[in-house]
Amino acid sequence: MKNNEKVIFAVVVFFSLVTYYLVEPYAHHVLHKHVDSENFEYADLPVVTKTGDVARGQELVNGAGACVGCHSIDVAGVPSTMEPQMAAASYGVNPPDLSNAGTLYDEKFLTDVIKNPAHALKVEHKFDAASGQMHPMAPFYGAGGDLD
Amino acid sequence: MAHFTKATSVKDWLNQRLAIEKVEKVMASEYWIPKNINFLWAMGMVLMITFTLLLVSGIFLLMYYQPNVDTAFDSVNYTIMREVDFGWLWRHIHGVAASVVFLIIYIHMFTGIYYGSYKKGREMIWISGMLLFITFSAEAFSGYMLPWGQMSYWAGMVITNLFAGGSLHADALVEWIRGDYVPAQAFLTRFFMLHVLLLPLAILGLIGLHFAALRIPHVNNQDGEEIDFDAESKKYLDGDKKGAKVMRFANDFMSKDMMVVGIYLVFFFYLVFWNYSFAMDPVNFDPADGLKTPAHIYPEWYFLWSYEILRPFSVDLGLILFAFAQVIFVLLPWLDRSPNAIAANRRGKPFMIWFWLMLANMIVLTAMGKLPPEGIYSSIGFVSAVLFVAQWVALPFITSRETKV
Repeated sequence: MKNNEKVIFAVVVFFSLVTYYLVEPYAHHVLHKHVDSENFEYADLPVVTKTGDVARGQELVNGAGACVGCHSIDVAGVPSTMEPQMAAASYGVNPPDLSNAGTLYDEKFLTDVIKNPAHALKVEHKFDAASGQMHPMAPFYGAGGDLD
Repeated sequence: MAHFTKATSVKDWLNQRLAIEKVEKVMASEYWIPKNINFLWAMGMVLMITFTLLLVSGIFLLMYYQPNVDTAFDSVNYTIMREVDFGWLWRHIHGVAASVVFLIIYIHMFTGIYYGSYKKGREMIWISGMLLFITFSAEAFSGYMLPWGQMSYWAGMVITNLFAGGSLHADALVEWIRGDYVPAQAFLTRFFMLHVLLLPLAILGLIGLHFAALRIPHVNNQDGEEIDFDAESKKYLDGDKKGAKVMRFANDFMSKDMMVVGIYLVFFFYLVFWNYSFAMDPVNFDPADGLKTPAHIYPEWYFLWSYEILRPFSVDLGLILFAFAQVIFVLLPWLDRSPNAIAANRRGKPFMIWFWLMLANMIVLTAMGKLPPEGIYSSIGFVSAVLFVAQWVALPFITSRETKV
């Protein structure tokens, strides 16, 4: 019989690598779901095309948007409407202060979380309006006919 | 007493008392190996070297390891890994070798199946080899208990529970094995004893048997050709080295063996230094905690295929099939009814398909054994486990129809 060491070696390496791939990288990728890094780009959320208007924004936050109904804005001197314990008991969450929200959150995430918090936070499986489970933060339904 | 003369040299002195020249001839220079072989015939030597690495690294680890439930984890992860100079190196060698030894065992085993090296006359080689596989498995399992991490504890729990025998509810047997209701000090101490004494002794004895079993039938060759070793070795000794179908074990065969060992050791130490994490499960770096079950419990990769045969069925059927999978390989020389002792690919379609399907299916079982038993994975695992059993049941039938090639 012809001595075919290279082919035999290739067969051994092939089956060993397939086994390694399935048992290590593949199995661990299934066992431990991928978690995105701090540079997450929110690729699944719609791109923000419009530019904002500060004056109208302030108007919305204080008026039609009713943000300050729950959130405090310390830098603007807007106090919170409830004590933290009280808020937690009422809403099940403690609405965060919005002083640094613009710096803290990605632009895409921030616009989307205002429009649809359950979607942006990926908790739609828990908070589904149709089944009567609203997200504690109410979505912004728009003012003056234009949602964006 | 035999007659002794004044020795002319140290060698002569030893020769008169120990017959060292004769021993050397019988064991090495006039132990004959066929020429018609390939690098897969070096796996035995690769295994010997790996076993030696395990033994030596194990001796060094044993100097610092403490078989006590309170100190075992720290003696491994703190003392050996951080305080002892090069302790990490010995541990990595031991851990990686324990995993890689099974890769080589599987290659060795499938080489034997492929070339029909278990056929008539070589049954004892096969049986002693399978006994070695079983003792190596027990050795690997008992060693896995010793760092007393989460995987040690829960693997110990799961495997000892198997002895309850499902509906038999032999719980007293499980407690007798553990020496307690749960894996605890008695359990750790006895597995420590098994790992460092009883099982290594059994392995050494079985290696002796495995070698002795080779003596009369000799190793197989690529064509399963029956070689007249007496005639061929005479040809060799008479000077026709080229015409003889055999060569000396030492130094002819050894020189090639050692080349393969050299390449293997490059690969081995690459794993030890740069890619050891596959042999060091992260979950086992949490100390054992009987009140906290890990999310996923799975054995080391080399047990996964048999674990997956246990898992997809009801408790009793699973245990029966698991036991079936453990012993069925031993019976291979009698389940294979074919008159051919040649390479699987040349024995005709049915056995060729049987061989490659068995290999592929065991890899699938191995993969499914680690993945969580959910959705498509449990379906694939179920089908593969059924296929594994079906293949073994079918083996006597398909091989008895084989005609002499």
